[in-house]
Amino acid sequence: MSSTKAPVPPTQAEIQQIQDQLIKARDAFQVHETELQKLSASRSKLLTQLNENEMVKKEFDLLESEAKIYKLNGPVLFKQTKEEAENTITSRLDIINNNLKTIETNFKDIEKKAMEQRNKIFEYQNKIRSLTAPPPPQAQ
Amino acid sequence: MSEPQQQQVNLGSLSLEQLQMVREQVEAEIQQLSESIQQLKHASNKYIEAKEAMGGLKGTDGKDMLVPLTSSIYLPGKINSNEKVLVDIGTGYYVEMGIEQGQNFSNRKVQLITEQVNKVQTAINMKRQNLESIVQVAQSKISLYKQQQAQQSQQQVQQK
Repeated sequence: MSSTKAPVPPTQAEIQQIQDQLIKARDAFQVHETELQKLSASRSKLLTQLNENEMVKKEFDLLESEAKIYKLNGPVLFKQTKEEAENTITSRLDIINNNLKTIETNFKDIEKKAMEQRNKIFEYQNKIRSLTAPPPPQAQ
Repeated sequence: MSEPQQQQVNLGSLSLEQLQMVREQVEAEIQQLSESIQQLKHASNKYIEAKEAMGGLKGTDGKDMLVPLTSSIYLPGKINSNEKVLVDIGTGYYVEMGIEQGQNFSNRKVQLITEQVNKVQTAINMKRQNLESIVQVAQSKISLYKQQQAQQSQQQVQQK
């Protein structure tokens, strides 16, 4: 009986090449993850500030126009009119919202890149797994 | 503003390694949310204490008190007025309020925090369900793998 020729096993160089690509993809993914974490932290801080300022604004809305309002500057409380205080809060809210929009745009862009790298990682892992799997038992 | 898009994952298509990664991520998220609840409850308690403190001022007009200068030095004083309190409403702003008004402020804060706690708890419950799904899929994959191994062993035995 003539034996069927076994498939040629992949060369070590081929496996090494894929492993190198895997390492590169993993490093790139890690860079993106770090950037996303920073953006996430910034966004979280801005959301906290947004929430705080919005609640202060709501409190101002509940006050009568003659309410005595003080602004803390360092260790000193300065009197402010309700109008002054409301204008300050409104300006802050505008700045915070603009910053949040910028961060969201950046976040989506980098998240997309991270996803691409992650898919590459899985692809390379699966490739290596299939190449290094033991050959199926020889049919006789 | 919209939240970042929640990623939809088909668990059945993931390998065991990938399932492990997703599982760890969900567990970390649950841990984080649990810590958030603790912080919110701590803040809520502060407002409750503040409200009780304001309540304690009623009927104290003209009474003697001790003013702390440091943790161990006190000066005698008298309460001049118990009708007004200065309330920190956030971001460096303080407002002079009557006691009732100040207590209403505390009530509003406690209510807001309670709502947030409920939202976070709902999120935790959802993530716990996700976690169970992940574990189930992983276990079924392991069972299938063992089954295949057993079949291969039988085939090899038959060939000998």
